[in-house]
Amino acid sequence: MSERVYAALLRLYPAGHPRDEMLDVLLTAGRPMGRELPALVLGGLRARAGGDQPLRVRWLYAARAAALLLLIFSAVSTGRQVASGWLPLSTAQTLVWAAVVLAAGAIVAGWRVPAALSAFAAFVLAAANGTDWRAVTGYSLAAVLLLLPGPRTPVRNPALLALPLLPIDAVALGTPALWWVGLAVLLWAAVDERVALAVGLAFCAAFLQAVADLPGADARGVFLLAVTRVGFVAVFLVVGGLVARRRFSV
Amino acid sequence: MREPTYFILAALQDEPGHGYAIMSRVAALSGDRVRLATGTLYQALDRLTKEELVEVVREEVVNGRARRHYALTPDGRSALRAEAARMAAAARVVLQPRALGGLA
Repeated sequence: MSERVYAALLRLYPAGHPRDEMLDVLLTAGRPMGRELPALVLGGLRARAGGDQPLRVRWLYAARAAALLLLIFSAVSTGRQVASGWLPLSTAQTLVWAAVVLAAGAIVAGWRVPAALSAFAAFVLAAANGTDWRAVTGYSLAAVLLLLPGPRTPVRNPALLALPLLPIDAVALGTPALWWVGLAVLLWAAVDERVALAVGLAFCAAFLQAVADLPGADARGVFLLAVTRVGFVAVFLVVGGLVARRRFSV
Repeated sequence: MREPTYFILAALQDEPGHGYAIMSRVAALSGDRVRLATGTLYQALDRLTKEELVEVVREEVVNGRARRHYALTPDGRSALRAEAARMAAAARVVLQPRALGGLA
């Protein structure tokens, strides 16, 4: 019975892992299954999520993933406004979206320089178009995040493509459903903390953007925004950073 | 260095060992304080192998299942000894304060 359960759970691990050997140890040790299961499942999920990058590369991955989040979120946000008739559909806007698609594709493939150039092109085209300034800021911050040099780090995680499709407002922070998504991201940090780090970095950028949108003399507005939102942003970075440090300290 | 890592490396200081042997030695060396789950042990072995502190030295088939034997690398041995020396120095501060002079 336990052999079949363990063998099924070991399929969580990628093919290269010593599944046979682990099964042998599990059966030889003969411990209560409840004691073995949590670490077994967590180990399998971590191995699937790509847990073999060193700490520095994980932060680099998070920065590139944050750029991906900002690019897709900004493009989708403009798309919603165009669909509702709030903004016009122009050739310039179509070119911006084309640049975003190129940048996102390059990030997924791990080509940093083409990604940075495409994000920069999206920024310049969107600024020249001048209709959605929040998206302009999003593209510029994505391009800045892509300036960080380092080894080739493809960002292949479907969750990072789906998350920015959610209608999140950095100022209002949206509905309880989005808070549940935030909680899920934080819980997922036990498996892959890079998603929490990326969300935290992207929220940092969105938060700066929200502050920049406030009237220059509105110090009270900035203060209120900081008090109510810095904690929200920080929790992703703190949780992600702590998990990364704990997992990858020897 | 975290405690489970320390005891895994210590379990390999005298001779190589396979997964279950390492798990048993860790429990014995730590007085049953560190009892590694199999998933935890293999996450640690995976990480230590990538960091070149531990290496696979032999593979065999027992009861139809592959079994690998792990050993310390020279870097792993150095890291273990450095950590032991650090902890011994820290322990001396408390256990033999007079020997250090000026603290009594």
